[in-house]
Amino acid sequence: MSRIISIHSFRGGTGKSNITANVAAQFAFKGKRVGVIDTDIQSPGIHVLFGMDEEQIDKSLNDYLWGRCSIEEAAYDVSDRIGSGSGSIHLIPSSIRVGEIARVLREGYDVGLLNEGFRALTHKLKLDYLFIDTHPGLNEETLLSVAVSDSLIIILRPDQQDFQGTAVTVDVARKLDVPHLLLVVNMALSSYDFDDLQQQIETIYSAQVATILPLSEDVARLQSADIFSLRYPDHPFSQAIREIVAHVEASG
Amino acid sequence: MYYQIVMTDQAALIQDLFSEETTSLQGVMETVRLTDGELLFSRGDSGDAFYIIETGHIRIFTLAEEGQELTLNTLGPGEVFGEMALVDDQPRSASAVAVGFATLRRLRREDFLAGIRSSPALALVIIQLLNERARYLIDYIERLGHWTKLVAEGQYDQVMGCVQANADVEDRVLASVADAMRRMVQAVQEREERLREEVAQLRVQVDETKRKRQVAEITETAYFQELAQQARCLREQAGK
Repeated sequence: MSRIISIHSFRGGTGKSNITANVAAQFAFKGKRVGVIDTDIQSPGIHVLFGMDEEQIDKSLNDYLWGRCSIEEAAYDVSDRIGSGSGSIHLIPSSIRVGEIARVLREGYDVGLLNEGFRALTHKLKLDYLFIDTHPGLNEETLLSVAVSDSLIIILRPDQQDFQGTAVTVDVARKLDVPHLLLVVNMALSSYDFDDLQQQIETIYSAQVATILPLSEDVARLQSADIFSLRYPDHPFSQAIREIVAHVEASG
Repeated sequence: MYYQIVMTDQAALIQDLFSEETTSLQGVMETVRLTDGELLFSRGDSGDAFYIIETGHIRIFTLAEEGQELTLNTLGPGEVFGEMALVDDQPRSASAVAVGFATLRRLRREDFLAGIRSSPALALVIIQLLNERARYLIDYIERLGHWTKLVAEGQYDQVMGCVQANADVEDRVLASVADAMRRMVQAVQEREERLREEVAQLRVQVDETKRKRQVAEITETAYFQELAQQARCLREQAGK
């Protein structure tokens, strides 16, 4: 049975796409068939982590939403690019053409099509997992992604704005009956007491913290050019990614 | 140490110049004999002469804030002091006293200024002496720049090691700069440690009133209620 996992953060800049790509890649590495869909139509970016640029993207999620193609026609098998082992990984990018981004913002699209697209993808590509990289904030397409997900992973940084925004997201997700909710703290200063931070967050949100990722210069240095956890499997960041993977596996 | 060695060479040169019978400088330098504990000059006196130590030792000292004597340096045979007084007449910044019997050669500023007219070699040797001092200071400033860079990089242990190695330099001004650097590094380190403790006690806080209001703004929309209904149906279907 396939599972849909949304990855969300209340504000941008939390490292959401990077964590999404790494978690997805780890599942593929373990032999799973994985899909990654970039629903952050207004500011797409996850394709870069899988080594794709504008010229390599022909059909995109935008084309599907405007009825120009089927969803699987906008899926790219990027398994070879990342060396994902025995599994496979399929990326459905959003258009990075400025004109097409502007058109989405201007005209909008039928949000309901997204749900049909998710279902079609998991079925046609026989996916074990579909990861949805969402747009920050709580707009209609993000709410829809959350509503149809089996798991919601919320990424937050340890600062007051993210604490507040995450509280709202958690409450909204509960009202949508998301079966499994997981928190991931990213960019924590190494001087923090991680155990204390985890305990405080778990108490305040009544939700599990999968891991706390320390602020890492090593990760920043790679500048989204590659899947960090595949390239440096022994790095603490990569170990933390595998903890998220273990939590997702345990919940399903 | 470099400073002292160079000064000793210059002292020998100056001695030679003043003992050459052919020049008019012969007899210009006077001999000063001091007994144990005899004061040569006090801090604040007008500085008007340069000294070369022939025998014995001279202790340079000042008064600490609490009133007790603070020895800055003790100089021995062949070493020189007071060369800056040859060019200007600033008051002495420290006092000088003999340790045991001491013999010094003294060159007064007025004799020096008169002497350089007939002996360019004298002017040259004094310029060299002052130049060595300037070079030494520039070298020290460069070292300071390096330490500051280390502080900026947070390499405190390394700075402390360098400062410690420079704390016992002969020059009291430089020694006090090293000491100020040491105290600054300690203060920065302490402040950083305090900040780290504050940061480590991060409190996770959520404004509950705002949270309720923001959640309501989303969940009370028609779109959301319809979506929640649809999601429930989808999950029920999947469950069956």
